[in-house]
Amino acid sequence: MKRWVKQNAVALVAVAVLAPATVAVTFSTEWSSFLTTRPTQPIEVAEGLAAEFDGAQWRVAHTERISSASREGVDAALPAGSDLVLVTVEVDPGTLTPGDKSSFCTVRLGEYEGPNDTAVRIWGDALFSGIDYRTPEGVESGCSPDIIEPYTFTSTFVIADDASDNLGVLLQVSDELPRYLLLRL
Amino acid sequence: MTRMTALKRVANGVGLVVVLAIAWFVTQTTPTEEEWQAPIVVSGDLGETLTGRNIEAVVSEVRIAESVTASNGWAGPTSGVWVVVDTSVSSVVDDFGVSLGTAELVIDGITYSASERPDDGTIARAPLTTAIPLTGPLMFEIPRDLVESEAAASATIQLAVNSDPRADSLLAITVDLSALPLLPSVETDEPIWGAL
Repeated sequence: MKRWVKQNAVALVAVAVLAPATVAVTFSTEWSSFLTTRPTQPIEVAEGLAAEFDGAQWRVAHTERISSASREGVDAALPAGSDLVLVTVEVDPGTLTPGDKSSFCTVRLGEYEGPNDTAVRIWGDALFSGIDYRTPEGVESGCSPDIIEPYTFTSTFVIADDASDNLGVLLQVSDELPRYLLLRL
Repeated sequence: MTRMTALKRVANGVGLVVVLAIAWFVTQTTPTEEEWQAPIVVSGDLGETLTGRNIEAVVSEVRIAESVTASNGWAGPTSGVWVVVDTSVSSVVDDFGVSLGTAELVIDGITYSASERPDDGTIARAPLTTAIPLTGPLMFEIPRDLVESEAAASATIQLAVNSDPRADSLLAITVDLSALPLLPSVETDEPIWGAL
């Protein structure tokens, strides 16, 4: 047996190296394209701080949480068992000239939990959800690429009322994927 | 031929047979493309809360009627019958681009999709929210003689997020349609977003 192993040592080593290498190469292509087209690399920003991302400055200026059971919640026609979370973000698009476009982003709200502080539940913007809440005059309801001066937008999220206060805004710009901003609230 | 050489040949032969047997076993047990892409089925009964990867639902009531009128006034005349399924459904982890894309009734291997004709009177294809249920009716139009068939005793309601449930959770609720009375008409409730 030992002799046989010795005689075939090169072939055995080749199989031991090439077989896993083949599997790794086959799956790594698919896996890396999966990872690079999704928001998998957060740039975490502590509460109240500003961050530069996609050539612009971003900062959460204000947050508010309104219960569906409160007067404001009833006025906003929130679904039972929900809270409305309003997140106002200041955007400084940087030095742009007329005709340029500032960043277009997608925002979502995550609830974070566990030893690794991972997002356990995520909610999308409630802009078209049918609630009766309108952002104040002059305040945008999301990223506005046509605005090249500093501006603010307020995103609305309808979340479950049992969600904790350990929340963060996931701000994505498609050109920057897989990186995204995680603005802690 | 020495005794040692003969033994070696026998050992080589046995080795070859073992390798061929393993190859045959692997071939026979390798999942087909359809199998490894198949939905992950979560089965349950009426009134039971079923939870999948990103969908949670409970089917509270099933009725069969000759005609149905939705909360928005839509009335559905049919030469068959309507199976009305009252359901409460939400997403579990993420609601980005998530809707009740799969709402089907399977009887005897034939799949009937929930009607979208009632528009906002049904929750078929409605967007879902994480942890906030959407409650409302699903209407299935099926041939009249099917409800009296033996297969109707083991009909299955299938629910999943988005229209292609492959490699994702598929909630399956078995109902005995043959045990339900055929009502002359049913009026459905308005879909409600939020806890009941």
